[in-house]
Amino acid sequence: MSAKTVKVTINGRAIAVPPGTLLTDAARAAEVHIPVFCSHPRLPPLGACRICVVEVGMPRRDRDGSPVLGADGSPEIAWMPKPQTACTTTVADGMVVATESPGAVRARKGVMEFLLVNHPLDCPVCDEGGECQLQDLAFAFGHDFSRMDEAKRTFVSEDLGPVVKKEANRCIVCMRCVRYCDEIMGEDALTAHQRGVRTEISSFDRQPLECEQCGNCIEVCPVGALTALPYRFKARPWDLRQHVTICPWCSNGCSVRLGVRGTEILRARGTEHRGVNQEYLCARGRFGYSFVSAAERLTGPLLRLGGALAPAGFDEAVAFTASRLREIAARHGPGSIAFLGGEKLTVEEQYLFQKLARTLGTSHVDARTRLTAPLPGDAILKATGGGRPALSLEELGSAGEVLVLGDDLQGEGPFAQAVLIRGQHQNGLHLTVAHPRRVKLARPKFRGEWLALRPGGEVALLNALARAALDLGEPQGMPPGVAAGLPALRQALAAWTPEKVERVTGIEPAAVAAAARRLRETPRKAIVFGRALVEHPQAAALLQAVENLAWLTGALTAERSFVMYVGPHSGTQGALDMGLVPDRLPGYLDPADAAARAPFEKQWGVALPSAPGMTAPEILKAAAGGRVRALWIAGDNWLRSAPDRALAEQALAGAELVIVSELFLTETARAAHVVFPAVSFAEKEGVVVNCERRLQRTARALSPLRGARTDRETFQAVARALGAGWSYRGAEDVYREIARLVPGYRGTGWGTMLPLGPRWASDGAAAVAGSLAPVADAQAGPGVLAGDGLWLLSGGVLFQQGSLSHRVELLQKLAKGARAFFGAGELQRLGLAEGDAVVLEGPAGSLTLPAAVDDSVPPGAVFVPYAYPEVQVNRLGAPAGAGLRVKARRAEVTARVGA
Amino acid sequence: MIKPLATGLAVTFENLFKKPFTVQYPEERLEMFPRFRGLHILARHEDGLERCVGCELCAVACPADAIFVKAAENDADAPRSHGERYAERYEINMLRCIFCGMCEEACPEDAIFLEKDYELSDYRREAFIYTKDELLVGPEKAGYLPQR
Amino acid sequence: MSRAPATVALETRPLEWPEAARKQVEEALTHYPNRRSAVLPALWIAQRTWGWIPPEALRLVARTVELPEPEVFGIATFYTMFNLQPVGRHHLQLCLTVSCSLVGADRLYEHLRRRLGIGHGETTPDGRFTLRKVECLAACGNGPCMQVNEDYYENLDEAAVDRILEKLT
Repeated sequence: MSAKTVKVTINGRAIAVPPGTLLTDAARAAEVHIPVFCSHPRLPPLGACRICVVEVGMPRRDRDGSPVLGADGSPEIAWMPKPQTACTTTVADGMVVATESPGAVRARKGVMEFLLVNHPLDCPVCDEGGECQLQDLAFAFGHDFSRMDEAKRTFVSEDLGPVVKKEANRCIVCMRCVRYCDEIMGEDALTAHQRGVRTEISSFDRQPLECEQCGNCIEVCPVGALTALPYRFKARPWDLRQHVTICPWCSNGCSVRLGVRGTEILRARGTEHRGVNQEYLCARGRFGYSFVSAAERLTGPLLRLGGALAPAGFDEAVAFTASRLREIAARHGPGSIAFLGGEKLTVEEQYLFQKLARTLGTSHVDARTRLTAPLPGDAILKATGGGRPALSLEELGSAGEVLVLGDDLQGEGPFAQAVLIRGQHQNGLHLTVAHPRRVKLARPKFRGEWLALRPGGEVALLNALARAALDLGEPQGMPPGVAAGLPALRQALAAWTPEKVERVTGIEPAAVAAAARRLRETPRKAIVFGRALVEHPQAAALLQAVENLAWLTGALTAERSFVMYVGPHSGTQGALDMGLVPDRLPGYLDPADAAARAPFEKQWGVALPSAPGMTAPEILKAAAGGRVRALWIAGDNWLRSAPDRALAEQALAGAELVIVSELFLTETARAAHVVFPAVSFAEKEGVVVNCERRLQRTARALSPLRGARTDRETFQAVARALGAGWSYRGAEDVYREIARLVPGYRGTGWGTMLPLGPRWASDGAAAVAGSLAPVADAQAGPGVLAGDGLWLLSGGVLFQQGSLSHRVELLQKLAKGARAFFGAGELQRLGLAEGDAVVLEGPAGSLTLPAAVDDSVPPGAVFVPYAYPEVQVNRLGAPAGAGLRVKARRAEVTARVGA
Repeated sequence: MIKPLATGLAVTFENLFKKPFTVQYPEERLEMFPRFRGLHILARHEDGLERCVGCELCAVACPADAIFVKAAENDADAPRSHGERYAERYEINMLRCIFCGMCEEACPEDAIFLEKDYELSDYRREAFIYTKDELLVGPEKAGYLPQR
Repeated sequence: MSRAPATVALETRPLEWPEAARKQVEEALTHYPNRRSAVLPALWIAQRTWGWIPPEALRLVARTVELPEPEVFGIATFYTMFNLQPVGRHHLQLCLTVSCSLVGADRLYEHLRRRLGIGHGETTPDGRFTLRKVECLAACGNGPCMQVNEDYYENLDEAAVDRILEKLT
């Protein structure tokens, strides 16, 4: 807060607030309640509903400027002749406000009467009843009778798509939904039709909404005009137990308020004044909870003793697992056991998972099952500043220039996307989106540039940006260790001439130079990247290139980091932090360093292997080759997430022991020898770390499904059966151990994580030292464009995320069927029409899908979202080098497939 | 000493010749007072549709937490109540109910009334959870509203 | 008052401007500093081109002026003079605001209604006339008045109305 404040008196209470504060906010500070409908903390003032009217005055002044004193010696107030809307009036020094004066009360009652003129009295059937602001304020401020004798104007109610129910009669035209849809979602799906008393909110031509279906319009509606169809008439607010927990659908870590009646989650809502997201939720977060109560949930362990998986008791499964693990470790050495997955678990479970692995004596543990090439465990942390205080989502929204690299945030981090769109509308944020497809953020309606990157040109683009940034002058703010790499980097970057970059990436040199200049010269900047770089075959090089660019543009400095990794899962960051990587202990400690190992060895009572283990892609190859004989896969449908399905199938078929911890009997679980039933996010407590490295507590909203166990219990039971003396009574016990041992997490505790947890940062020096290093492109040069076929672009989409979204009926419906998307020109060139079955042939296999037109897909490429149940993109083969090329042709059969 | 005894016995003898208060239940039954609160009914409109719209105000007003309501959306072609909403499940746990009549007072649709029936007994506890079938009046009583 | 969907979807294929209209739109765009400001002229051109503004034309206008489609829809419904439903060849808009009403507009409306057999907002089966009651046409000095497509007829009585109807084919 700036030192300068102005003094305002509200209902006789004098307070000092910064200039420019709105009266509604000043009143909140003075603990005076002013009712609002149209005003919303995330939206600019509008003054549409007028319920916030108050009387405002200023001290009367003489000609010489001195205050005029009344008969009693107090300053005389010159009241404004009419009441003013508090939500649009900013404070002025000396301002006097009366919210309870007879004039203000009369005005408010009048406004309330107007609002109720056409509002139906159907509260008993309205879903908003009980949590309706109009209902509350009508009780508080309104009359107890209506002078309205005339018939009320009526509208027909409409279903605007599968989630929004509109009852326009109840609408008070506050325009919150329209503004939210426009300014925060960037969807512009709603608008006001007609005018005057007939104003009605609806979609284009009253068609079903074709938007992100986020339901935030429902959330911000202060009355029952917009209600959620999935929750229609299900319950009343007072029926629901409310549990605030963390959404499991992506790495943004939004707080979600689950409403539970009995044993069923009936709805999920934003939290208004809590969490990183406040009221915001995306379609997945708001409507994607039904998998928790899906009938196909596993309700007991399964064991393959003979040929088929059969139900077994928990103790039996644990004993079997432990004895088999012991047997395999004894016969083939602990190096023949590998632990995979865990990106969807809580921090406590992740910690125990790797503890179990390392206690067994193996370092083959990796959560990053989608990697296509080995990647050091600290590579992502290093690229995001090595543990320096991280970029928060709030800072992201108030940045001046943001570079989004390679990811479609609509699918990978919907809240991050909303933050950027809000920044566009409200803070003048400028976007640079480097993506082969014209994704939502790259559309022309947003202020920004789209760098239409040719697939495979990622390294080239990052090097070109770095070179352009370096051409603008010596970089500032680098620690000496990093600056030492500058000469070598400068020399290597010289090879990336604009012509060469244009040839490889297809982007004009001027656009690259302009993007580098914006990033370098804008004071508040940010770089956002995600799985597209991390799961790239050249991931290690790309992450170094991101780091180079960040140092050269000042997105990384000796003190701060403005680089964010938006990972694929809620536990992605936690998995890295907790050492679910083969070459790092929890807290990114190097197992080769005896001093770093010592505290863990002391606590765990075992000697830890000092050599790094194999990364996920290496484990895949080793397992397929018979060198890894036992696999434990936790919360990961490996047959889908592994880069090469054929290899993964071979690995599962060949392994002597496959243990899968899952919610559902997935394809991977079907191939297992032991299946442990896990519990969902709503049934367990723990901590998750989001993309801004914020530690947040999840809460248990439901008792675990009968028969299912938390992964913590399973891991502990197996560890005990193996002879380890684990005796955690709950997840908090585990967390205490983490907080004792893991740097960055030290000093934190469950108690400090409400309502909003702290963001961890390494104390003092960075956990991982940064560097500037030349990055060569394995595929650089003309080779990148050689070869025939289409580039396979895959990626996340909003309505499909993986094995959980497959069990959510509504998301399945919204996602429609799986399709292969082509640009219109490309489809024509292939001689195909929309809806035709098209065969995509990769090096290892083929896929048949209906073709669809999507003009965001560039020529020479096909976009196949990977998360649809009927698509197994990894059947085509693992991407290598710059990516994966496939051949497309019309399917022989004329029948439509998969639609 | 005699006098109090005589006074007491006088009362006794006096009562010997009075009509007894006892009612030969179940052959004989008392007429309940107009505002007696016994077993609930769910009323119907004149057109036979249920008055209850499943708003749950009775459930929230109930001090004994005896009422469970689950609403659902009316089939537009075969509606159960006026409007879009009706009570799919309506249950009152008579073992919890204290017959205070708050539900009746809270009801915005004049759908629930406490009537005169007080003969609530059964052999199983479950039987005391009265479901909607038991509470809803028959179609022959469409339009019936108790006089208060 | 319940309302039918605001428009009748006749055209479902994406529309394009005919050559003459395209020229007009391009000319209109030059009048403004940004494209979105030309939304009203573009809507007028669309109405003149197709007689009414079908949803596909609204989409076309949105594309042309680079506004979100729902916003263009909102603008088109805000102004009553845009026809979002098909109208007859001759769109009779009779003023029924106070001044005209005082000098007999209600009588004229009844007369039109009887003669054409249609009421407010309806179209004759042969597609010749659409009758609509409108608010003040700003010709109060010469009421009753009626607007037919883009022409004004003033100082009307029954005979005058009949003469006008006969002229319109």
